[in-house]
Amino acid sequence: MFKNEELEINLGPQHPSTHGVLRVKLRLDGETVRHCYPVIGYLHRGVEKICENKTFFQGQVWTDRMDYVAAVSNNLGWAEAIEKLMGISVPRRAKYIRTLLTELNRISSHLLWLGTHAMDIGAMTVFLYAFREREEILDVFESFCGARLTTTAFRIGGLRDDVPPGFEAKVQAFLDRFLPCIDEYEDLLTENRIWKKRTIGVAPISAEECLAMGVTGPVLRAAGVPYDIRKAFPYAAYDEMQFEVPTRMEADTYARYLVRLEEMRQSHRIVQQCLDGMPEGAVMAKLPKILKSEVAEVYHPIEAPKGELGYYLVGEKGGLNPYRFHVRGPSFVNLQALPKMTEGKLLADVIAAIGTLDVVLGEVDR
Amino acid sequence: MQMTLTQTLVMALIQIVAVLAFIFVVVPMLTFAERKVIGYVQVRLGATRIAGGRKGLTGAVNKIMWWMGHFPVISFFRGLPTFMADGIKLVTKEDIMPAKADKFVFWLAPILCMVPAFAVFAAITFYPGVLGVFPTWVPIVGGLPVDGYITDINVGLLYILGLASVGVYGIVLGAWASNSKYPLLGGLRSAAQVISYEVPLTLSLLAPVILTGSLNFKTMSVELATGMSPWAILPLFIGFFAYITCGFAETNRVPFDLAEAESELVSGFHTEYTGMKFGWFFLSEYTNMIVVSALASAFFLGGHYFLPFGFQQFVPASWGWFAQPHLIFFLLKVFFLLFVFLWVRATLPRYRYDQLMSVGWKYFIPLTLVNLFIAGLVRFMA
Amino acid sequence: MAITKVWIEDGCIVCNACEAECPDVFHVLAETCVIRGESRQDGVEDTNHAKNPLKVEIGTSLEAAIKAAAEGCPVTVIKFEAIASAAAPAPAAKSGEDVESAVDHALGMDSAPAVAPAEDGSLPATTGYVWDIKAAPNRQIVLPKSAPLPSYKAFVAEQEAAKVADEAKWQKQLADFETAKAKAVEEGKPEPKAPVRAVPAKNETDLVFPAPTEAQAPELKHLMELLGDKVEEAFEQAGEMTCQVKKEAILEALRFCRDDQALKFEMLADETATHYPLGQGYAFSLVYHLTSVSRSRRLRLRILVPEGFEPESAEQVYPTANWLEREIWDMFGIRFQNHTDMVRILCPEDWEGHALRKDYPTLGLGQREISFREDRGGMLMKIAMEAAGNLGINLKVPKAE
Repeated sequence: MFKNEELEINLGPQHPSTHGVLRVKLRLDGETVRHCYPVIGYLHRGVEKICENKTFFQGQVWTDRMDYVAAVSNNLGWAEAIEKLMGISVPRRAKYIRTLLTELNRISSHLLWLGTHAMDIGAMTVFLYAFREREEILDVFESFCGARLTTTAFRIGGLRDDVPPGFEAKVQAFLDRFLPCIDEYEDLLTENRIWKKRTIGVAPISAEECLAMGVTGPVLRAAGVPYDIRKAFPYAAYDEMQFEVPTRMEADTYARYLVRLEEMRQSHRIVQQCLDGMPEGAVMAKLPKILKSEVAEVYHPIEAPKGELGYYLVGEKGGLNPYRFHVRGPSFVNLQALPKMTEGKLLADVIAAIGTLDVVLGEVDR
Repeated sequence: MQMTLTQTLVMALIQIVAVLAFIFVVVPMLTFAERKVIGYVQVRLGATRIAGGRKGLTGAVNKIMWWMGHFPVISFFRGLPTFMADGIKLVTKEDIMPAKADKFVFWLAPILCMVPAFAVFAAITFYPGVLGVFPTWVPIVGGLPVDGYITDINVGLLYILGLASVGVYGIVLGAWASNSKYPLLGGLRSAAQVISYEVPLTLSLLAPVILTGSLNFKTMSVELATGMSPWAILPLFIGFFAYITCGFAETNRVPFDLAEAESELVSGFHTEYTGMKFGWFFLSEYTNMIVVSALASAFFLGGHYFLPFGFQQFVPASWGWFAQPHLIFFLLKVFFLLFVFLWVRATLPRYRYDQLMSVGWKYFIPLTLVNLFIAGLVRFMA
Repeated sequence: MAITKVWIEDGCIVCNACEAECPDVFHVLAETCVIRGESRQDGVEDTNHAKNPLKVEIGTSLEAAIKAAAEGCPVTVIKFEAIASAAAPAPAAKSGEDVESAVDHALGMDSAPAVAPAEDGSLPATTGYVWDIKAAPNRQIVLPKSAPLPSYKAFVAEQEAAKVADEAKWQKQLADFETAKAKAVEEGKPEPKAPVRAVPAKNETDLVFPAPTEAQAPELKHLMELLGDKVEEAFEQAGEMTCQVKKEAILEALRFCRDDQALKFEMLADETATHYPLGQGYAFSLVYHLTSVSRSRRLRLRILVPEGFEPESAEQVYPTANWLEREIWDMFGIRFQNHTDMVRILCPEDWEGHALRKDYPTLGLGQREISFREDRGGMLMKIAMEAAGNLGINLKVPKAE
C-alpha cells in the first residue's frame, strides 16, 4: 500500500544557489539525499581549443573568463606557465606587483564566496557587507588596468605598465580599514548559533578522501593538510613573503569558513609586505618582438583562491600558439567530491556543500 | 441603547471595512518597510525609485523622489510609491497555471490561505471600549458608539487559533496542486513545521488563559495588563519569548522560512504561482505577521496599556494619560513587533529542517509546559 | 557496413520483439534473450557478454534485421558493434532522400554506436570526425605540421643533427671558397675574401630555452629501478620530472608512485592528453601529473597511445581520475578500461566528434543540427515558411474571406 519511492529532483541548471549553471541530479528519500550526481558542461565554451588557436598573448583574455571572480590569479598562472615554457625571467618589481594584485584578488574572491555562501544558508546581510569591501578591491584593479572583473592584468614577461600614481596610497587605504571589516563578518557569523548549527559537521570530507579526490585549496587545508602551493612550490614573489598557512582539523563547513577568513588576514599581510618592500626597477623583461616556442611541455600550478590551478602547455617548434593548452581547474576537480560530501545528508546540506566548495562554473566547464 | 438589525449590520460593515482598510494599508507599508529596514541594516538605501522611464507618470514620480533626496528625513520615504507599483504589478501580471495542475485546488489554495488570515481579525480587540461616537447627522448609524472590536466572542482565542490553523491547508494544497517537485517539498516541510509548532504556540498561549481564566480576547488583554499578581510576570515573560519564536515559525519567516527557502527550494510552495494568486499567499503571510504581533502585544506586552508583562499594575493613576488604555499603545507595540520580524530577517541564517523540528519538539514544548505549570502555580496561589 | 558482434546486456524483459524481427540470431528463453549458437563463430548459445564475434555472412546479410531488432528493443539491451566495409562507397546523391542520407553518412550519424578496432589496432576511418565539404562548407581544419613530443632523446638527436648540418655547411663554404680561389688565381683576378664561420647570435633577451636534461632526480632514478624496462624514457625539463612508461604498465607505475615510501605521490593533480596526428606509432600522449604533498615534489608520467587503444583507468588508484578521464573521452575519444562511468562530461551525450583533436574543425557553423522536440512558439513553422518563401512556394493557408 505504501510505496517507498525516491523523489528525483534536479537542482539546477537554473537554481538560485547553484552559482551558475550547475545541475545536480538528486534522489531524495524524504529530505535525505540518497544519490547525488553533478551534471556539468552547460557553460562549456571550449577555452582550451580556442587558446590553442590564439597566440600566446591573445590567450590570456580567455583565462579571465574561466574563474571570473579570480581573473588575476588565472592571468598569473597563464603568464607564468608561458614564461616557464620559454624560460623567461621576470623582473623582481613585476613579481611583487603580481603578487600584490593576486593576493587582493584572493581577498575579493573569498569575499564573494563569503557573501554567497552565507546567503545560501540564509544570512543575507553578510552578502552586502562583503560586497562593500570587494568593490574597493575592484576599484584598485580598475585603477591598475582599467578593468574590474576581466582584468587581463599581466603580460608575458612582466607587466605592460608600471602601477599608476596614487596606487600605493589607494591600496594602503584599503588595507587600513579591511581588518576591522573581517571582524565585522565574524561578529555576524562566527558565534551565531544558527550559523554554527548549519555548518559544524556539515559536508565533511577527510584528508585522505581529499587527497584521493584531488581536492585542494581551503577544503584540503580545513581537513588538516597544510598544502599551499605558495609554500610548497613558490612562484611569483611568495618565497620572499612571510605568511602562515591556516589549517583546521575538523574538515567541515565551519572549518572551511574559518580557514578562508584567516586566509584573508594572511593575504592582507602579504599585500602589506608587497607594498612595504616594493623594489624599484623595470617591470618588463627583454623579449623578442615575436614570441616563438620550442618543443617543451610544462605544468605550472598556482594557488588560486579555490585551490590548485594548473596550466599544462605543450609548445611546438617555432609555434606562435600553444600546441596543447589544458587547464586543471580547482573548481572542476573539487566539485567531484560533492557526492561524497552529501550522500546520506539532508537537502539543505547539499546547498551548504556547494557553497563551501566555492565552485565557479566558468572554470568547471571552461 | 438597543440597536436595530439594520443598524447592527451597517455598524459591523463599517468596522469590517475599517479593519480591511487597515490591513490593506499596513501590509503594503510593511513591504515598503521591509525594503527600507533591511536596506538600512545592509548599509544600502533600499528602494529609492520605481521602475519606468524619465517620462510619463513614473518619470514624474521618480523626479519628485529625486527631489526628496535632498532633505534628511524625507529622503527616507523616497521609495514609498513602490508599494503601489507592487500592487499594480501583482494584479496585472499574467496568471500562469502549470499544464497538469489540479485546476480547482490550485485556485482554491490561495483563498484557503487568505480567508482565515483575514477572518481572524473579527476576534481581535483593537481597543477595549468605545472608540468614538458617530455624529448625529450620519444616516442610519448617527449617534451610535463605535466599539474597538468587530465582535466580542466569548471563546475568541479558540476562534483565532482554530482559524489560523486552517491556513496551512492552503499551503499544502497549493503545493500539491502545482504538480511540481519543489513546491511539493516546500509544502511538506511547511505542513510538518506548522503542525509541530502549533503545539508550543498554543501551549504558550495557554499560560495567559490559565492566569485569567478566560478565552475572551478583550477580558484577557485587560486582565493581563492590569489585574495580575506580580508573580505572573515570570510566566508572561517566558511565554512571550516562546510565543514570538513559535510565531516566527508559524508565519514561515526567517529563521524558519524552510517552506519557501529560496536557496534550496527556489521559492517553496508558491514556486508555480504567479500574479494575484501569488499575491494572495503573499498578503496572507504578511497578514499573519500582523495577527501574531497583535496577539503577542495583547497578551504579553500589555495590550492597550503602556507597560508590558503586567508591569502596568505598578503605574499609579497620577501618571494620567499613561495610566489609561489607548489604541496608540497597541498599534505601536504591533508595529514594533513587525519591525522585529524584519530585523530578524536581515540578521539570522536559516535553520535546517531536522534542526527546526528538534528545536520545536525538544526545547519549546518542554519549555512551554513548564511555563504552563508556573502559570498554574501562580493562579493557584492567587 | 557489417555487424561484427551482437550481445545482450542485463535487463532483458523477454518481450519476443527481437525474435520476431530476426529469428536467425535472437532466441528468447524463459528469463532472457540469447544469441543463437548457429549464428556465432564459437557456436555457444548465451547472451554473449564476452562479445564473441558473429559469423561474417550472418553479420552482413542480416545487418538490417539486427539493427531493427536493436532499435525495437523496448529496454535497449541489445548492443552491437559494426564495421564499415572497406570498399563501401558513400551513397551516391540521386534523389532528395539520398542527399540526406549522404549527409548523414558524412557526419557519421548513421554509424553504429560503437566501432570495432581492426586487426592492427587502428580504428577505421569512421571514428574520427568526418568532414564533408558539401555538408558544411564553412568548416575548417588546420592540421599541425609536426608532432612536438618533448623528449630528451629527440632533443639530443636534433642537436646532433644540427651540429652535423652546421659542420657540413661550413665544409661546403670552405670548399666553395677553395674553388672560387682557384678560379680567381686562374683568371688572374683578386682573391675572394676567406669565409668566416658564423657564430650564433648573442642572446640579448631574458629568454633562455629550458632544454631537457638527463634524469638526475632521485625519484626518477628510483622509479626507473622499480619499473625496469617498462620505462621508455625519463628526463627533466624546466624543473619538471617526466617519466614515459609503456602504455600497458601505467597502472603499475601509478601504484608504485602512490604506495612506494620513497615516492609517495599521494595526489593525482591532473590527467590530460594531447593529440599528435603526425606521431609515429602513436596518436596521443597521456600525461599524469602527480603531486607528493608530504614531500613537495611533482612528477609527470606519460604514455603514448595509438588510436583505438584503451588504457587502464587510473581511477583504480586515484579516484579523482574519474572526471578527468571522462573529460579525456569527451575531448579526445580515448576510452578507458575499468572506468566506472565512461560517459561524456562537458559536451552533450549525442555530440559528434571529439573537440580537442587536431582534426576537429575550428571554424564554421552548422556543426549540430538542432531539432526541437516540439514546435514551441511556432519557430520551426516560421523557419519552414521562410525557407519555402525563398524558393518561391507559398505555404500560407489562404484565409477565408
